[in-house]
Amino acid sequence: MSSGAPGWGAWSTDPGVIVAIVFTAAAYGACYRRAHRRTGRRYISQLLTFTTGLGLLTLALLSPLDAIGDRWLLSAHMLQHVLLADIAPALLVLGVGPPLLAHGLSPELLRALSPRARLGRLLRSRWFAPVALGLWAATQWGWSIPVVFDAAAGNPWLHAVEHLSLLGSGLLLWMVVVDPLPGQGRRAVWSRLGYLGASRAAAAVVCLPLTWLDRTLYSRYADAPRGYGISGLTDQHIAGAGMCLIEFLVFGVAFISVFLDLLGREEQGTRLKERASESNRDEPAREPVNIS
Amino acid sequence: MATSLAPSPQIATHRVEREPHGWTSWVTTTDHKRIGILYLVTCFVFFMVGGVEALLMRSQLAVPENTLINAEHYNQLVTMHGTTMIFLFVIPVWAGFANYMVPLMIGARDMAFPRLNALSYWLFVAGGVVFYSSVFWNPPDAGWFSYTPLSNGTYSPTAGQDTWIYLIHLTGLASAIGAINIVVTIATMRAPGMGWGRLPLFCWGVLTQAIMLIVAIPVIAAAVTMLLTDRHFHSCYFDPRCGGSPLLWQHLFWFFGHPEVYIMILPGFGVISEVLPVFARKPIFGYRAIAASTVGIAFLSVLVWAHHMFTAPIPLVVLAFFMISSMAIAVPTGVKVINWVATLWRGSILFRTPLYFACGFLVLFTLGGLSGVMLAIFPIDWQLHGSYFVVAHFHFVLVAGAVSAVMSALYYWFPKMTGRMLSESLGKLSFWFQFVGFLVTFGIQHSLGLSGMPRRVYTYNADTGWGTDNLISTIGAFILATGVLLTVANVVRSLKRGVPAGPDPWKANTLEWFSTSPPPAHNFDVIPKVTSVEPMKDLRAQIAQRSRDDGALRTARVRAPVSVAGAVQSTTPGGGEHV
Repeated sequence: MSSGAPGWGAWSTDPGVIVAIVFTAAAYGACYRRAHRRTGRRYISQLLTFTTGLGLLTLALLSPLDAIGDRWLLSAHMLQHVLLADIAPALLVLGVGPPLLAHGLSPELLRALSPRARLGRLLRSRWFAPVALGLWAATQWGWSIPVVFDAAAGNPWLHAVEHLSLLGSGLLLWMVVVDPLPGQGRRAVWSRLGYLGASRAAAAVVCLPLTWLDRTLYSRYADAPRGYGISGLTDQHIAGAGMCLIEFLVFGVAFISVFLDLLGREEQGTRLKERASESNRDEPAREPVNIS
Repeated sequence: MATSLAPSPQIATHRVEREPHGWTSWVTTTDHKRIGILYLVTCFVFFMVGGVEALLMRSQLAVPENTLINAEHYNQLVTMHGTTMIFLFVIPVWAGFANYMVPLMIGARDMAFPRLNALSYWLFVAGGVVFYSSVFWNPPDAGWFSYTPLSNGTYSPTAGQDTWIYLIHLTGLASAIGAINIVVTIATMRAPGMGWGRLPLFCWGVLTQAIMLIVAIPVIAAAVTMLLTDRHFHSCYFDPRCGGSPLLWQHLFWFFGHPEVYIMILPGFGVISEVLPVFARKPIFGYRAIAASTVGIAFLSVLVWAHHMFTAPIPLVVLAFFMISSMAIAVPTGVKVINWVATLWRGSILFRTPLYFACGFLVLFTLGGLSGVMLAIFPIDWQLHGSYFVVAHFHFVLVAGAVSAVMSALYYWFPKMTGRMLSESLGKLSFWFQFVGFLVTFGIQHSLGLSGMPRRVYTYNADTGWGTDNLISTIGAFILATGVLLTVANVVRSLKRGVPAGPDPWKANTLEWFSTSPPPAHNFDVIPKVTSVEPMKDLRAQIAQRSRDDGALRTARVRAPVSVAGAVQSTTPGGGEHV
């Protein structure tokens, strides 16, 4: 590592980010406590998932990854984007998955999210999923255009907007995939998986060229001092291949989880139906129909 | 007076067609069982032809500087053998078993599109005939993956290479049509009560294979069409002189070629998952894990194609990506192996020939998987690429994997298809010949590869020191061939003199055993209601319970299909679907 390149100690103390993370943690804590009080249950897996999501968000925004990604390595910047737009939102939304929100939200918020309220209607609208997917794809593609990408990395305000839009679109996409809202009328599993698959296809438009091209696309990183002994082209290949690997693995894990869940639920549903028909059969037989 | 409603006939017929018979009945058939048998017989014919080609190659390599076959003919044999075994045996043989068994296993009366099914078979035959017609002129010699520029008009100017292209077109179309038929059949024609969580694991394997075929076939179809236009219409897809790239062929071919490996093996996994619980007398361990690992393997298989191209000019980082994704496949495969071993664990094991082949599969396929993980590490692949180590690896996976599973399926389902049992003693003898022959043939090839012997060479110098290993490998190939011939003899003998099988000779778990052996044209008089992943076990339990209730404990065993059907009608009211 050459002099000037950020090391392990280059953590950021951006007060805006710290306040936002602390506020989110406090809000989740309140929601969790309320749910626990109401049901007496502990939602350990959801707590762990949410905490990990928040931890990854902290890692993406405050760790040396941010400083390295700003100027030195495209791969670090791309990893930061994957964490912000995909992994952290996925874990955060999974952390508030059913039934936590139904038990943990205050009555006012539950009313606001109910299918009759405006926000509830909006979130359950049939346009919500395609719009969320479109936004996610647009942010992925838009911020990956070399001129835009380089400009954002060089301007703190534009950089903040970039990160906010990636996180926001990621949360919306994973709202569609996980569908954490309380109440009936959840989207079909295969449709949600379809949206996730489509999002991976959109990500592939960014990661595959970065993986395979034999010339550098981002002049900011191609011309950057080689602080970590990696050439500009190798750095770009790592960025693309790493993004592809993570995006596809996320889909693979989600696919297998949904598949296992689906098999279990279907078997459960079939058994319930069979039991219901058996109990109907046990009832006394009706008199034959009189046709005379 | 109160009277109950009597059932009235729904269909009146004025003329009954005469049942077709003789060879025309086979040529014009749309019955899934007959099409399945046609597939199987045709595939085994091609298997024998491909086997003879392999023996010729092994004979040539048995001693150094041999002159039995010249270089040109050796290249043609390599191409014909690989193409035959992949496109005319392993892939379509699963279409044969799937055609015969899937409708029976899911409680359907036929495939969803019977005529399309027949078309699929005849396209496959046409592909094979077109390809083998080249034997009379100039057979192709660019290898089964026909890398460019070797396969372009300059280096392969004869029509033999074109027959290879037409083979891919025709058999690809056959596979795609068959795959669509399988998907629709399984999705829409399952017996009452057979949810996705109760689908037999063989059907999961076949369904996943069908979806993979639908994804992969268009890629190879496009690639060979591009090659055809390069060869005859001066397009420039793969010719670097006018801006094309030979590497593009490799990408396209292997994007199809690696899923193809799993296309060839997933139904085999399904067979093993059916055979083990029957002969271990235990339910399958981890049904959902096995089904999920099947789809997991399918998903990962489209992300690993470039591990066949580790020596091509590809960035190091990309190689690392493909190394990781290739190694990741070991996870779902390992899940399967562990579940299979757990199924056998503490079972009341019944040592019959199908189980012998299934256990042989477990041992050999695991070994092949391990050498696969070695080759997935690209620095190791750099050393071993194009050597006999790779030949040994993929034969462990394909011959030990696919062929052992095919043999297991043949011994398991032959009684259902023909109504007669195969000879157990001949079957076990055949297994041992095949198992030992296989280990001798291909085990030693690892050593040859590590000693540096390249693949696709028609001879070698005596001073290389490869002579003894090659001789051992050739002896092994003849032992293996003897094992296969023993199975052929067993089949021919048992067709006439085999012990009558009865409807359910293995006391198996899935619905095909509910019908007679062989099943009637309409498959089932009554389609039973499925209540678990092992419907036949449930039906036998119901019958046993009914027999106990009647005070007739001695009739607790299932006797005949008619009595089983009768029992089901009375024990599952409203559950059966009648003809």
